[in-house]
Amino acid sequence: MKSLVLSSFIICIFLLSCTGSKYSGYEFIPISKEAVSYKPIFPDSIQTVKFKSEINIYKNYLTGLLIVKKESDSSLHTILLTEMGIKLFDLNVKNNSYIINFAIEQINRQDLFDLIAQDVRLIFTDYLKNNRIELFADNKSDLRLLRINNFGTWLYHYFYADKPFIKKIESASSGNPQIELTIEYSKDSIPEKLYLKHRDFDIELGLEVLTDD
Amino acid sequence: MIIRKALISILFLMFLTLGLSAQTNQFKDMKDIEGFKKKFEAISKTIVTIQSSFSQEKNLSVISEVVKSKGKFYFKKENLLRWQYDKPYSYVIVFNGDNILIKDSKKSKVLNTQSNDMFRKIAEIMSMSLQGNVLNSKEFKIAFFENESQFLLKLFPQNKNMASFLKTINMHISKKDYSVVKLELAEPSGDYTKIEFIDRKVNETISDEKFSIK
Repeated sequence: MKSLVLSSFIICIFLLSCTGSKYSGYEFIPISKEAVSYKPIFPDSIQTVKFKSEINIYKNYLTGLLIVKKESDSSLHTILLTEMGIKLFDLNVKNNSYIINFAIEQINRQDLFDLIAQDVRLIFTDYLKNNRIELFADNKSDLRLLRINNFGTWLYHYFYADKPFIKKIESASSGNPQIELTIEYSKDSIPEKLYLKHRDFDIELGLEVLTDD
Repeated sequence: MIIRKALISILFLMFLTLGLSAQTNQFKDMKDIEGFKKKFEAISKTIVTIQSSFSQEKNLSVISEVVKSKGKFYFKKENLLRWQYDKPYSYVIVFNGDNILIKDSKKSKVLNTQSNDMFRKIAEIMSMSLQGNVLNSKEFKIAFFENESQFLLKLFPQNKNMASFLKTINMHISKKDYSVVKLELAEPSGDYTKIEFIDRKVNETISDEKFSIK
C-alpha cells in the first residue's frame, strides 16, 4: 500500500513537471540554454550611464540626473543630482549590500535606499553570470523567458527569440510580481527609456538614457 | 629609502605651496569692503529684471568627465525666477512666491517651497545673489576678496542643513558693472558646480508669462 502511494506521488510529480511551469498566465516549455542568445541591458563595454530621471515616491516628485558608474570592484557607484547640480545622494551598490556616501537629510532613510539599491541592481546586474537560471519559451509566440533564482527572489527576464534584448524584467515573490521594469530601445538597439514600478510601494521611476550628442 | 621618501614629501609640499601661493596671488583680501557693499547694494536696488544665458558644469570626482548643461535664466523683482535648461534636455524650473513649477518636454508639476526645504533654499540663494541681499543674510558668513577684474565673495552656510550639502558658494562679481558673472557651489565631498552667466541684460521687459506656474 505504501509503495502504491509513493508510486502515485512520483507519477504525479512527473506529470506535473512535463506540463511545464506557469507564470503570469503564460505556459512555458523548457528549452536549451544554448538555443537563445541574450544580452544584459548595459553590457560590460558600457561603464558609465547618465539618465534623465523622474521619481514619484510616496506622492513626492523628484527629477534630476542619475549617474551610475561600474567600479572595478564590481560595485555600482550611483549618484542623483538635481538639474541645478545639487547632489541628493551618493551610493555604492554591491551585490548584497550598499554604502551611503552621502544623502541629504530629507531622504536619508534606510528603507528608501534598500529599494533604490535593489532597483539599480535589477537594471545593471548581468544575471547570465548567475548559474541558477532557467530558459523557457512561450508555446504561442517567440517570447522567451529567463527565470533566475536570485537569493530566494525569482527574476523573470522577457525577450524575443529574434531580438536578444531584455524587454521586461519582473521581480517576483511567491508568484506575485513586486517590481516591473520595462525597457524601450532605439533603432540601433541601444536602451533609451526605462520604467520601473514597485507594486507594493508607491514608487515609480522613469529613466531616459542621455547620450553625449 | 627613507631619504627618498623624505625628498618626495618635500617636493610634494613645494608644489602644494606653489599652488596655494598662485591661488592667493589671484585673489587678495578686499581692501574696501564697506565701499564695495554700498555700491553693490545701490546698484542691486536699481535692478528690476535680469535675463541671461548660462552654462553649467558639474565636476564629479567619481566620473572623469564633466556634466555640462546650458540654458537661460530670467529674474524679476521681488521673487520671480525662471531657470530654463535647453541642453542636454529641456527642463524648466520657475520659482513664483511659495510655488515652484517643474516642467520638462512632457509634463509639468507644481510644488510648494514650504514643503520642500531644499528647493526653498536654492530659490533664496539665487534671489539673494541676484538682488545683492546676500550681504545682509544671516544664512552665510562672507569672506571678501578681489583681483584686477573681479570681486569674489566666499559664502559659508551657517545653517547646519544647508552646510550638509553646500560647503561654500563662490560668487564672482564683475568690477565693471557689479554683475554676478560666475557662481561656484562646492560640496563637502569636493565635487562642485560652476555656473557662468553670459549675455546679461538688465531691466529689459520680461513677460509675466515666463513666471507663470499654470
